[in-house]
Amino acid sequence: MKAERITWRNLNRTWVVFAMLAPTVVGVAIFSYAPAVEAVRHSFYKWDGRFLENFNGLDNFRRLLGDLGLWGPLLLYGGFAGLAPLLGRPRLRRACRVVALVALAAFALAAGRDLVAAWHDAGAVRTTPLYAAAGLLLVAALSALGAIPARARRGAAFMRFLAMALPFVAGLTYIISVRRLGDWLLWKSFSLIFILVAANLLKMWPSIFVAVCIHRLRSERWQYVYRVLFVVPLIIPQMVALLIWKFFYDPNVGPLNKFLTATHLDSVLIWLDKWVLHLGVFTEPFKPAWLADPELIVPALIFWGFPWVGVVGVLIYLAGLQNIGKELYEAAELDGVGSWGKFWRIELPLIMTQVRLNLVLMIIGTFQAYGFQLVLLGPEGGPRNVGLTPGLYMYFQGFLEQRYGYACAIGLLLFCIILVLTIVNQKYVRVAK
Amino acid sequence: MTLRKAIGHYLGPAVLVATMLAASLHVIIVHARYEAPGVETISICHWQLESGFRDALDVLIKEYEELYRARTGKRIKIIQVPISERGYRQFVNTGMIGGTAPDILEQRTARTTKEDGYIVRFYLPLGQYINEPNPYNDQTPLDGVPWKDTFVDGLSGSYHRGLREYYQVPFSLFTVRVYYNRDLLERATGRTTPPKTYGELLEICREVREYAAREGIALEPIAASKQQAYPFVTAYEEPFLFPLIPRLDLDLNGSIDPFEAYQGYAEGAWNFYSPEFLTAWQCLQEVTGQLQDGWLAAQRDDAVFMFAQGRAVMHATGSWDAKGLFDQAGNRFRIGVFDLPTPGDHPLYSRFVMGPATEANTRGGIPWVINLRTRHPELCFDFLRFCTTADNNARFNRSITWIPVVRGAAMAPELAAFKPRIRGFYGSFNYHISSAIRLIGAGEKWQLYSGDLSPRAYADKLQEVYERTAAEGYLDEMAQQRMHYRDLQRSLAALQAAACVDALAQEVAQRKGLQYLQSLQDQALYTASNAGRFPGTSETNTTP
Repeated sequence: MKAERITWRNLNRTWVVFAMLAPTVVGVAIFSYAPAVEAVRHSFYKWDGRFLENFNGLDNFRRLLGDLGLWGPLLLYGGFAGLAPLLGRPRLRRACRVVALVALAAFALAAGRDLVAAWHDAGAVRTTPLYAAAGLLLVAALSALGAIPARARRGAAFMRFLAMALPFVAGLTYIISVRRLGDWLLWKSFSLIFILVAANLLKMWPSIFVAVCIHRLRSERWQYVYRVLFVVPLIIPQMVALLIWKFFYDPNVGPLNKFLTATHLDSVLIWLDKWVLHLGVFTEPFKPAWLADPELIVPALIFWGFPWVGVVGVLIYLAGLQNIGKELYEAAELDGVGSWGKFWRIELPLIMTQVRLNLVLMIIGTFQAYGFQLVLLGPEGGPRNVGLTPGLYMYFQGFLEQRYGYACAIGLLLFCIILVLTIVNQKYVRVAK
Repeated sequence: MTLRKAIGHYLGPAVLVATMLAASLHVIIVHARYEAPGVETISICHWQLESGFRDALDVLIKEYEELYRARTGKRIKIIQVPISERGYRQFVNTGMIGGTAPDILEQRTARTTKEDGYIVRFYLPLGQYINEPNPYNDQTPLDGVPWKDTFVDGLSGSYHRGLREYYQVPFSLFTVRVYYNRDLLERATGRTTPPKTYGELLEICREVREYAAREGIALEPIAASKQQAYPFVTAYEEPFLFPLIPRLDLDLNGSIDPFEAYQGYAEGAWNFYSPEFLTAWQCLQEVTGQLQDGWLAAQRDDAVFMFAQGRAVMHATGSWDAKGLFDQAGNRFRIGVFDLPTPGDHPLYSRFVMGPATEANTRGGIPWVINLRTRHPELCFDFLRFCTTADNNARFNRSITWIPVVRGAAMAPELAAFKPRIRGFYGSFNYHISSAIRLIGAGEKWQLYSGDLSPRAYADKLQEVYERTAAEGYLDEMAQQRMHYRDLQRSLAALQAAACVDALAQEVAQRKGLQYLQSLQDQALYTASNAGRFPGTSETNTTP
């Protein structure tokens, strides 16, 4: 039977489908989209959740990002990058050139205003060259990429490198310079996020290895047992897991310090600290405060979750591995490929879809995370605010400072950053078909 | 079907059904016990797991239950729900939001949002009850005295200035002192009396360290943790800032709020490099340097244990720990108590320190609040009234060796050293005007206290943040205040309208009106003092 196309015209026959979908759509609209839309709306308000709810335009974003005019070229480049995949069509290529010109104009305006300001106020002089350099590089890259026809590109690789590298340089320069004018606490909080994302990239590997090990088990019964064992921890609430880790790091009764003392690793750490690291955190008596010492907070956050075998991650990888046909393994064995070779040449390339999914989830999770730092370190992110993340900062501004509008603006900014990273991830993490 | 197969098939559902039945039975039993027909039940929740507290409260509960039955012929059941300190906030928040919280709760900073919003949403205001006499005080010296005035602090700790309302009923009063092991002190230093001056305190600490090194034993001068470091902050930071107060106090209330602090800063009257601040932090570091190694990572109980084990000579904590420490010392060692000496004898510090801070403004502790959603508000009030007669409050506090909070209630003799110090200077200095300064201050202060950050480096950080964010914070706070007063005006108008038709509301409106007049006076003072001082129009700051 041929499936019928559902349109508004044949609604009299297909209304049942709409009726069945309606509760879900309404539920999602009310509980997911409406709050999100409200958050976007409130990001343009000065809102304390109580007495005050005044529209203040872009003030929240101005506080966050500094001079918004300086972000113009970068945002335009974002639009350009979004259109880049469609550059094969001449009309769109011309549109991109227009975008590049507008970016140039926007930059010229911003830089010009800044130069005028610098003329009157010596304080702005230091940042102006940075803006100028960033903007010129950016616009040069845009123009170069937009001007050369896609088919006849000479030195296409070099241009691609420019196109990929320059926005990062420009973006970085912008962030470095704009942080002086914007909310520097937010930018401070990003420094930890980049460390955690880098660490999480490494922490993804144990899950992949464990999934492969389970997949290669010959006994289906044991495979089943391990799968069940990986599902069971899902019933433990995340808050409980966090509290267990907090106890784990307790300097007096926590298992970590006890383990280090029992295995005499404490003397090694003390020796290392004394002669190599010079941090002054591992001393006699050996009671390092993992969550109270600014030098140890980042290592503690990275070590969190050891042995880093994510439950959901393993199950997702297993699902991917189970789709690999046996004939591939047999062919590999005939070619004399060993276990390690099978992993690198067959299994890893064929589960890249799952890896990419986990990568996206990991990046989103890391950027949004705040409960973890809140429970372990407190709302200020621990001593010297070392554990401050954008999510925690958003919580601090919203719930403790009652600047809900500003917190919404931080949320919107985080959304944009995560969206860009997800697009980059989707575009550049290659998936073998 | 074989037995094995049958077990395999039905074991799971059987376990499920059995668990369901057990849970249902438990719920029915609990319900029958506490919600029996004709029995009114209220629950009271707290996080005081100290020895004796629950027993003392149980005694009052039993007496009240009997008295209520004798008086009304009805039965009442009061359930005590003790929760550990660690999970208390989560328990209360979950209950409050879910509408299942106990009727009476020990108030603790358990907010999910800023204080005002939390209080208004969850706590019952006490305003209409506290001006009436406590009926349980009939035929006592407090007969006819408004309930509010029967407390030694006049319920000042219960009053929320922003909301113009009272919310808490305290049971006890607390002060902080230093407990010392008299035997150890004598053995280590040859002294039989506690230090009377700041210099003596440091001298004793030095002698204790020397004694420990000489004898090769693990002995520290002072045992503390993060929580127990605050007494030192109060004693050795705040008094240094008192000389600044008269210069900055625009509303003449004796303390500096963030607005006054900013205005003074903008006029160049102070900054974080002011000698008052730098010297205070230097003094504070001198004292915290006498705490045991790794005190920053220690828990509250670790420090108490350390002192009780005789591994530290001194331990600064509140009167709430008195019973526990006296009991633990038992016959093993003698405990003495002394007040932290102010550094008035120090050649440098005495330039700034005029004297100790007064404790005359000490506010009641163990503050009980009533859940706004309780089904029995009258019963809750009545029980709290019963507990806060002079006699009952004295008995309650005596059994746990705490200081009573009701006028005329006798204090346990062993707590004589904890009697609030009336003489001294009053004041506080709050410069936290922006969220950035609050955030950075909270993150950096422990580095200062632990000696990892020098006073000048700490000042550098605060100065940078303050310079950058104070003006913005000032405007933000002023906008909040403006909106707050607008809301108050609106509430007042509504109350006045209601007063036309309701006598009770008229009384409330009158009271609110008086409070509002007070707030208008405050505002007028601010407005007068703000003339020409807003950021942007003020003179540039200069370093003194």
